[in-house]
Amino acid sequence: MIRIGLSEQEKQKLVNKYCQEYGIKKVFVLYFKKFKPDFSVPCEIEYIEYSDIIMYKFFYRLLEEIDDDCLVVVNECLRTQNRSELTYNCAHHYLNQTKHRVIFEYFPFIEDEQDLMILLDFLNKSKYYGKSFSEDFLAEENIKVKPIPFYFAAEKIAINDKQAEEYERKKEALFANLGKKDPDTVPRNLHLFVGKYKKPHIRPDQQYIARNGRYNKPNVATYQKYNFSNPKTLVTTEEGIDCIILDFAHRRLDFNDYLKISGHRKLKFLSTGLPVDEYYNEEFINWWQRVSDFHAKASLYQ
Amino acid sequence: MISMLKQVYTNKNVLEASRKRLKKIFDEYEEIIVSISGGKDSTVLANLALQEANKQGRKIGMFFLDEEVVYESTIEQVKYLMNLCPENTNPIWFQFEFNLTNTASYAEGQLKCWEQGKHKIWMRSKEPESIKHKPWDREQETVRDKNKGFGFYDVIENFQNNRPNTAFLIGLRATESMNRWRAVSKNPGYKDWFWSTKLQNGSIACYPIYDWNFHDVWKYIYDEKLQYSKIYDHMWKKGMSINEIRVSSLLHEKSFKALVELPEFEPKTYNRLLKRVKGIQAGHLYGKENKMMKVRKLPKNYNSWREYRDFLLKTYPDPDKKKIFEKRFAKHLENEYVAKQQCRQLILNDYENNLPVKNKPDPRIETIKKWREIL
Repeated sequence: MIRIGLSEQEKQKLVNKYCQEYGIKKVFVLYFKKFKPDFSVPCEIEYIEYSDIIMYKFFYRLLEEIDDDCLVVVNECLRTQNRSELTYNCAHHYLNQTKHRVIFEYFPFIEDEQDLMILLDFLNKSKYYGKSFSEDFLAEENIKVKPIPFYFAAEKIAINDKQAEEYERKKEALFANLGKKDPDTVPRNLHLFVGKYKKPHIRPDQQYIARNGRYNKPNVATYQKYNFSNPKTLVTTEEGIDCIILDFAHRRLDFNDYLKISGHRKLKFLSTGLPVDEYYNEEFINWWQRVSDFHAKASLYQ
Repeated sequence: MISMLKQVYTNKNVLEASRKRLKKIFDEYEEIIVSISGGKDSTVLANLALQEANKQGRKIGMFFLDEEVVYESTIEQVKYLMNLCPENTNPIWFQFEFNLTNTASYAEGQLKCWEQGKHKIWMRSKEPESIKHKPWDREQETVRDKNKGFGFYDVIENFQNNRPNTAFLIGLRATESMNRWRAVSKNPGYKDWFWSTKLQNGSIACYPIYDWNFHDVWKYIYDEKLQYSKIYDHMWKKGMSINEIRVSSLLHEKSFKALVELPEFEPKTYNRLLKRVKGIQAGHLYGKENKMMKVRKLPKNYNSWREYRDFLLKTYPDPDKKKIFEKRFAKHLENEYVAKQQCRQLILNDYENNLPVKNKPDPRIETIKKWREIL
């Protein structure tokens, strides 16, 4: 089965119930390092980190040990969009050894619905070989989704003519000095550049997140380093906003990880209104729309 | 506009459909030859064809073009297939000299497999029952490209030309390469057999298992309890994806990556290959290196792919082949995208143009244009 959007408690409950219902003798949990679960089950349990899946020391032993009395849990392992990635292939070998498989993922995909095929391959690899995503698969397989309540808005700050001109000059310089570099670095660098216009608008009583530590303020976290153990202490705004985004993460996965770990569901983006910020804002809205559309199509988890 | 090929599913079972196709071939053609490579697809096809031959009490030719530098497991598989049903099999095992591209070495850019006078370093001895000399009139022999010499495809072509009114069975599957399938299936070779193509002298090439998927192939092998090359098991255990798993020659520009794992899979074959052909160790070490044989990253000493290409071309050791590259590249666009592919051809010694260059404007320029518009 595939379960999308469950909390740690819900995952625990489901795994425990599954073990009892099917008389499972051992549980193997494949997990990504940022999301190590801690299941309490009535049988033996072994945790294997995502990057270790491919290692020989696990590979042959697990092929021998996993059988129909075992449950394999794949926890938050959607880490690349490459469906034929070696780590996925090794996971398929383990999963093919038993009919008891539970796949947990917080978001249904990284970028779009095609990524869901990776999760479907976990359930039954050969069945979907070479096939693209189709809504029919949602009805054919045991997939349930728990929708995520979410609020997002952009707050524009005023930009003066001098700043707008500076932005244009920077943009031209980035294109002029591109050399052999990847052209996708231009929007990335521009997005960071406009952050300096946002700095004066950072309030001490609000929580922010940025791509790196250049703001040098205690209430600005980064996607690499954050600890939101008690985020509410900083939130005083009338809308109850969890966090304000200064820069979006460069990789979608980093942003998704931040949402998963922080539990933040009410977000604002501090935008300069300049084309680069408009682009990132629109990209995020489109992504969230794709997630919402998927939630609307899939069966809901009760 | 590029037309896309799409798989359409019908209610027919591929196994039954293939058996019907084979029956039709046996009904219409007296002479039938099945080509085998030691791979899984030709194993399936050979078994299906032998079952039909056995049913009809007939003999079919079983053709294997031995490139010498192949896995030992391939040879074991070929022997197995040729002895699967001896009363219905007429073995045609070619073991004579022809040229193969050696991707791993500039110094020895071509390997003459089964080269006369070098029998002491051949990968293995010739088979007692094999055909050791070209079984056709030398004066009628055709060579596609005189610069390249008598190669793999020339053997196939001359063999087919020399066998009139014959149905050649080939284990090509459409899902392996849709484009290759499109190329062979444009016009039916006989009647409405869209799974065949026309050859010279009234012969045809048939693809009876063209619509099988890889799982159909493996299920058939399992159901029929057929033996298959051990290399598949080695690759599978190594964690390679099922669609990456394939058995081919060990040297040419599309298969050199096999050299990386060869010492692990077949140490004895690797040892013999080291003595037989130059550049094998380089292929083993660098076959999957991004800056070397994969030609994915530009080495640091160069500022552009064009600069790297010019260096490779300038220092290319074989003047005859250098001319082939120069002539080919003169027709190409001058940009980084094309130059990178040209570097790949030069590094992999692809004078035969088996890895054709996509001669089009640099997509990076399009990306820059896109960002200019957005930003």
